[in-house]
Amino acid sequence: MAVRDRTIEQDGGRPMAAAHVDAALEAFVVEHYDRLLRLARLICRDAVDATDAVQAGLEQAWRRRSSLRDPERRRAWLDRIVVREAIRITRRRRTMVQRIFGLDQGVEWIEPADAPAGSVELRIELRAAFESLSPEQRAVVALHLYAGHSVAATADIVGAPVETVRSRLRLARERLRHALEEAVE
Amino acid sequence: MTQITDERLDLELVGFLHNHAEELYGAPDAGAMARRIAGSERSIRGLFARTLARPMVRVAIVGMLLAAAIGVTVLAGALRSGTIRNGLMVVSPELGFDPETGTYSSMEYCGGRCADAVYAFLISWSRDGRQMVFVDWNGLDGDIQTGRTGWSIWRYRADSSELTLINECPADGGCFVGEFSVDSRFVAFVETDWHPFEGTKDPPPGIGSVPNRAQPPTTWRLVAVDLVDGTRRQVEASTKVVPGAPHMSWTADGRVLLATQPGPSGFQVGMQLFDLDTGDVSEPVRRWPGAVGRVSPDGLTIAYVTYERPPRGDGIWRPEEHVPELWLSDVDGSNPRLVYHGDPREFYSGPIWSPDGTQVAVAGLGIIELATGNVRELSSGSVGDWLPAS
Repeated sequence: MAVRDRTIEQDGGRPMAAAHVDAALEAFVVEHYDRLLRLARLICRDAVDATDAVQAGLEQAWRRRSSLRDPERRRAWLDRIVVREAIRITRRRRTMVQRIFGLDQGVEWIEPADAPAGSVELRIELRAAFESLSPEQRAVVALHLYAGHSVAATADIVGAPVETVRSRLRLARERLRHALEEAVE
Repeated sequence: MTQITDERLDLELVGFLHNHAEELYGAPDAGAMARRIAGSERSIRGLFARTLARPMVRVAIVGMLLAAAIGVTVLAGALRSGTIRNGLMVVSPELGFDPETGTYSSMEYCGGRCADAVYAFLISWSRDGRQMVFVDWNGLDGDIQTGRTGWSIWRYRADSSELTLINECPADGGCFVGEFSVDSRFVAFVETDWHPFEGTKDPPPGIGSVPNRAQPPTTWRLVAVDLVDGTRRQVEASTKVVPGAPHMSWTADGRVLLATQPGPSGFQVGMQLFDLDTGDVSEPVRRWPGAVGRVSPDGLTIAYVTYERPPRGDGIWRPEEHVPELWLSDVDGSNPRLVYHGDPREFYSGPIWSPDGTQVAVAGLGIIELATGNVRELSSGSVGDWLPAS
């Protein structure tokens, strides 16, 4: 049996030439995809879920793009759509099937060989603590500390009161601080 | 304990978050995502979503639903008479995927094949598509009310609606996976005293709070029940090898292949072949960091995903070096044939055989035609059980 490259994208079983892809849609995806994928990755448990969240979010955004009147708010608008998809997908994965059979369950990550000495344990502790947070907590941490949104903007994106976001951030930081202190000890 | 300042905490967190966000093994690039979305937009699902977004359409749908209510009785009658949907892949219990057209559709539990509204979990169909096994647990609401406590495994016949209790699971644990043998005479499953919701703050409705136990689970066993005479065979195993993936399948000669996680070695997942008559356990394919697969519907061939060993071979997992591959072999691991050699950073999982044994669906890759090696990309990141043709 021959080894074959994946040579063709298909749509409904029919070959789909790249030239037929809507150029405007492609430009829209290329502009936002990498940033949204990394944001979703921080909320989801793996890259497959993050990809699904970004795909669902971008599909929604593309269909509803005419409803966005202020282009200045496009980034926050996209963040809102994708973050909420990421939370929804992550919560859905906590169903029984996923809890029992998720391949990521109990996985001990093997760190790269070139990781700086002393940092491996710290990263393992931080990763475990971060993944033990709820999807909503991971979302506010990712939006505030990674994407650089203010607390108020984060609250707007996740659709929660500012005080709730502050509370989620405080609880998340306490848990992550504890993990860091354990690792440094 | 060392006190961490706020400044140090933020510094460490920002560094960690930027590293963590880069863990994107298997994610497509922007161009592939654009094509995927373009394909979805052109699909029936995309058309449906765009149409549903219009207010007038929503009003019309409400009216149509009212009118359609009259037809529900007729539809139920059709289901009872054995009308069966054909060839769907079960992506989730309520979502079906047609691999031929690339479209999704909502689906009743048990694929719309049951005369009764069976609310079941971990469904697995026999090769002929006429009966299924499923896991039930206390507290589920549905038309089938067992009235029992704890977990149990049942068989349901789609043509007669006959429901048969196959196994009552350990009171302090559960059962996972039910799988028919090739000739549909036996059902295999895994029985353990580990409860999947142990210590969970928010278990599903009906499960109730399950406190953490002081001692870890002590046993798990692979069990096969003869559906003709009810006899039971089992192989005990230690907790050093735990079931870690939903891949269970039967060979034509009556052995069971099960994907397992061998002990505390983290990422590694392997396949073990259990002989329920002798208790022998073998490992047909031994590859680092693991190999996961299933036996074909005829019980003669294993399709499995593994990774090419990089030149350094130092036991370190580097996603940029490890290349996923799809292989076929005989059930004892002999006669290996490479079917597909992927790209670094891709992550494949879950080889699922088509019911006719001519294709294999792999999450992260697509559906591969074994005779030609041609690949059709899937518009979903996951694959599920592929229902047999009716």
